[in-house]
Amino acid sequence: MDPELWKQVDALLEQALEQPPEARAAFVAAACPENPVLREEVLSLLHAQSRAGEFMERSAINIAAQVLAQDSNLTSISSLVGQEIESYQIEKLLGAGGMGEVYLARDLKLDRMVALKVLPWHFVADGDRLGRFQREARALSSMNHPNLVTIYEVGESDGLHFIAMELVEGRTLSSLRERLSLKDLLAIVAQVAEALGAAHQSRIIHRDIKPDNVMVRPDGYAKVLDFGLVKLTEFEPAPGAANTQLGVAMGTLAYMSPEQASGEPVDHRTDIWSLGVVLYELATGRKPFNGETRQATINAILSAQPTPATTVNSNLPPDLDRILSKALDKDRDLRYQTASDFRTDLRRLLRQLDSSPTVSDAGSSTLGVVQQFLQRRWHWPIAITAVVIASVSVAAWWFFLRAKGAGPDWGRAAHLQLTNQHGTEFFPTLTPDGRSFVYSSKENGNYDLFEQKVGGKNAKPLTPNTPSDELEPAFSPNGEWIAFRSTREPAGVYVMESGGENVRLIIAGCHHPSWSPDGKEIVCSTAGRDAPTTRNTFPSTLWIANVETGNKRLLCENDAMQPTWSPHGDRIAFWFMHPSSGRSDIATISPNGGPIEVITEDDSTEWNPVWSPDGKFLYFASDRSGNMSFWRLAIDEQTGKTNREPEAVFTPSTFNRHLSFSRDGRRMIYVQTEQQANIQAIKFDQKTEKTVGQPFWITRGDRRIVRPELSRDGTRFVMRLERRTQDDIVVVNRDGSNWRDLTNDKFFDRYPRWSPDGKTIALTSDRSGRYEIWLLDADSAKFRQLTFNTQGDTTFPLWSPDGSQILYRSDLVNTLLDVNKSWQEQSLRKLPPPPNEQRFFAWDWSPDGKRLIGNLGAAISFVGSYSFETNQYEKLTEFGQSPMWLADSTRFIFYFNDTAYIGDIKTKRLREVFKSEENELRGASISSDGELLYFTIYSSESDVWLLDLE
Amino acid sequence: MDEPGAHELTQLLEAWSDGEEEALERLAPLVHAELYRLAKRYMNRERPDHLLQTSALINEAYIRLIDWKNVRWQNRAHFFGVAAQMMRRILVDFARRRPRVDHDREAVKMSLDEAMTISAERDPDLLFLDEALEGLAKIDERKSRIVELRFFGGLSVDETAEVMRLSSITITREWNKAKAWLYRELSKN
Repeated sequence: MDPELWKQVDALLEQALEQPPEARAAFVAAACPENPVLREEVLSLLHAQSRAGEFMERSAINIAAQVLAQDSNLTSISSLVGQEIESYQIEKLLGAGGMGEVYLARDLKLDRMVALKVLPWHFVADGDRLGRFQREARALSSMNHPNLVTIYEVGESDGLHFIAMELVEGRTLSSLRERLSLKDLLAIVAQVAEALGAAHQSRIIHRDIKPDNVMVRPDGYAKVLDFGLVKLTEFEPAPGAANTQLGVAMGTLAYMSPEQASGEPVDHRTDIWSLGVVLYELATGRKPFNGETRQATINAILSAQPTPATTVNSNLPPDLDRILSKALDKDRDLRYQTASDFRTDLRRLLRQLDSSPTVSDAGSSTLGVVQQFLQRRWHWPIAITAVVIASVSVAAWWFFLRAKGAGPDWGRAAHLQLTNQHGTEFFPTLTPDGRSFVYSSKENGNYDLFEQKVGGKNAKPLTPNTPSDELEPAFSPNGEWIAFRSTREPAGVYVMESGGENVRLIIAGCHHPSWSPDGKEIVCSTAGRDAPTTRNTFPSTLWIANVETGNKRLLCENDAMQPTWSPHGDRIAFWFMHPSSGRSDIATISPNGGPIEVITEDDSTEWNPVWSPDGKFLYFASDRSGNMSFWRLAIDEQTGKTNREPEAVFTPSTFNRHLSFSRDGRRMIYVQTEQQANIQAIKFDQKTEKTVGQPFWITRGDRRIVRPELSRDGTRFVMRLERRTQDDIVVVNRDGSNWRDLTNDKFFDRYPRWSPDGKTIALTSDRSGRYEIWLLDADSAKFRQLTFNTQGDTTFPLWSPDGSQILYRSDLVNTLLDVNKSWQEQSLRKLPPPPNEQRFFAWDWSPDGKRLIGNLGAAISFVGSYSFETNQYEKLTEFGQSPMWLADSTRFIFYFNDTAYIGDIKTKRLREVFKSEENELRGASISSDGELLYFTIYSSESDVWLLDLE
Repeated sequence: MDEPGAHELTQLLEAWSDGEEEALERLAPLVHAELYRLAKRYMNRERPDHLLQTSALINEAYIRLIDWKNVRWQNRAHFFGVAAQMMRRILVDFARRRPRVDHDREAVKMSLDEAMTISAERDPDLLFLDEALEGLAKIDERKSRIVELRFFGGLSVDETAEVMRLSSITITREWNKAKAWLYRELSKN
């Protein structure tokens, strides 16, 4: 239509619509007697308008959803009965649902009946979803457990995707409720626990355990159905999102664990909870957590304590209460940690009931009761239907490993904690025979090496308790020698006999020794890292030293850490950090030099590579799944190349590192680490420079806070929160209340500093792809990027006291920019470098604007200052970290070895003001009003664990 | 592998609005997930009047999907505009890929005099509606945007008014006229 005409139509239509409906036609006729085109057009639209009614009043997504629902119904009408799919003859439709139809089919090859599930088209249309579904189904198909439904085949025929699985004849547990004796119930739940235990070992979580998903066969066997269904059908909700359970039926909701109900990531312990709910419900006849509404149910799950089962039914044994309370602990760390433990307790209770005459239904054998019951009362052919509707799908979140089939399956290994001392035990190395291990522990105040037998409890010190740290031990291939790093003079890599004798220096300045397979050489790196958190100021280089002669050669000048020699000597793997992004990746190099093969290259952090003893895999730690866990890549040892996707090995906890194998590859030890850092404070009297009273916590809990800073007006802390795969900025009130995440996304936001007016936060962030300086509005959380395309390591913004300038460090140069100018308009000013190749890391700008204070030095750093008046640097102390000014611009506070000190630039006096009695003290500051001394207290618990395939 | 989380979705939307077409491919699974969720409700025969509360539902979906804290959009309004466009693209693509049965092609065509009101069974076909909306955009860009926001984006009248910077009464008027025009288009053979 001509736009001009349309304007007229539109205007007239609008006027007409303002008339009462019955007067509209006449109005239009009267309005344009001489323009029939206009008139007809408006009249026809008026007619349409009168008919339109609910047209388009439902939004598009609802319409699409309804079409989808109808399609699913349509498909089941046009059923496949009578057809052959591959070698399956379809006999009848057993059930249908959103996940597809399930048919009873005959496998013509093996002449057996199967349940054949055909995927609905919308699965097939979505390639990713289909692929994941197939991988997961295949993963589960490799499991062979009597209590799990067996998957026979995952296949495709003419675009029809299907799964052939065991036909389970039986009834769902929910249909048997109130008909089971306690002993029957316990026996069934124990079987489910056993199935879960097996699945969990293979890293498959069910996520939707409920009575509908447990089938009981006439012979008393329980079968768990629908593995991973929830994961497959629901997308993963954002952690903490309020309405995560929108699509989940009320029935299912009641079985959700607290972590599931609150949208947090779940692990296998969610299944333990759900099974606890099932047990409670079937034992007492009512659900432990049940509300009138969805929200009330969620609230009950999150906060209500269920009535003890014995209170509901006094005939129940008290031990059942104990088991239930352990399965239904809201803190999953206090719950049964494995399904097997749960099962053991159930079995124990069963045994007790068998020998106890007080329980009413004691007598016949457990399965026998079910058997009789089932066979007596149920007509089996009909019951099949009940089965299959439930048995719609199979899936697992653990995809790659089982499909490949190569390499040991650590998911099946026995798992054993080897050390449990308070504090840190790490860098374990297994003897080649796998019978004992050497590790580094701080038990005596600094790191020393200890040896312990696998299975033994007594650690034997290998290095004397001297002030030096001994770290990173590595057994020689023949097991006779141990190479390690020591900080004794001169610091470097040493070698000793496996019993601790004959210590000698091999190469000074080096870390992370790894032996060549012939035991003649050692490769090591000039920087050492026990975790991939901080970047190297200078690239860490690789060196190879001859163990006999001590002759050394430079292998790699690029940044490289924790080298590890391949078992046949062809390649050396290491990890390195990208200078601009700070993410780390893994590469290999030939021991003779030559090109570097980068193996992983992505946004996640990969580090700590370790070769499998057969040289076929490279294992490493990666946070690609959210946790720092172990992955591996099939690799060609000779070329160091790989064209495979990494596969997950296992994820026992949130932070795992420091892997070592026995020579036969059947044993592996590694370290599980838990770290916390919270803010503590103590009252301070600045006249006497003494603390008053006891320190108190500003924050508490399982979190890692780094470098809090109190705003100048003393009202709010800003801090960095380390969330393993991301760092975020958080603001809390001075008393720790009103916690607010200013950022919570995948980026690393670091080094937040308050502007003097307390409104804006300067920080470093990699949200543009490399680390740059940004400003963040503390109230609106809006970002503004200050620097663009800076080179290398751009970090540590620092406000001038008037708030007009920011000092930042870029490639070790301290640079000043004008906050009020755009990047194009900047005329950057660089501070002169300190003399004698020293570096200066500015930590704080004095309130009078005249000086910077920071760490100054080369190999060893101390507190130093820079004067804007003289452009001179001055060394102020012999030691210390992270100095901050006091309000008088004369005194400064810093920390060293868990102690906070105050220094004075004029008098040069230094005094200790506070020493932490517990754990590590880091980063001390004093509020502008001088009344609060605050710092973070850091604790780390690292233990050595064993995986054993024997 | 895994579907994107809320923060990533927000970035994807940003990326898409900056012209990165590939971002849409990663967004689609999230919308599909919502779709399946809703479809399940239909299959469970939930009461239709419950399902008519569309904007509440869509908003719920947005709230869950979007990491509001980190939205760097100039404002909410701009964001909703982009989100509505995204929904339109994904849902129409979805409708396009669906295997078509002859009789449902007929079902979506309506005769003007066939029914007094359009019931749930008389929902417009998204493909046809998308085409018709293109036609509307040629003569009346504003109306087509309002339809996009309300119908595809699931926004309420007031929210649409906020996005368009128009009064609610204007939105209602424009919506009624756009509906009439589109209804007439879809009723034509």
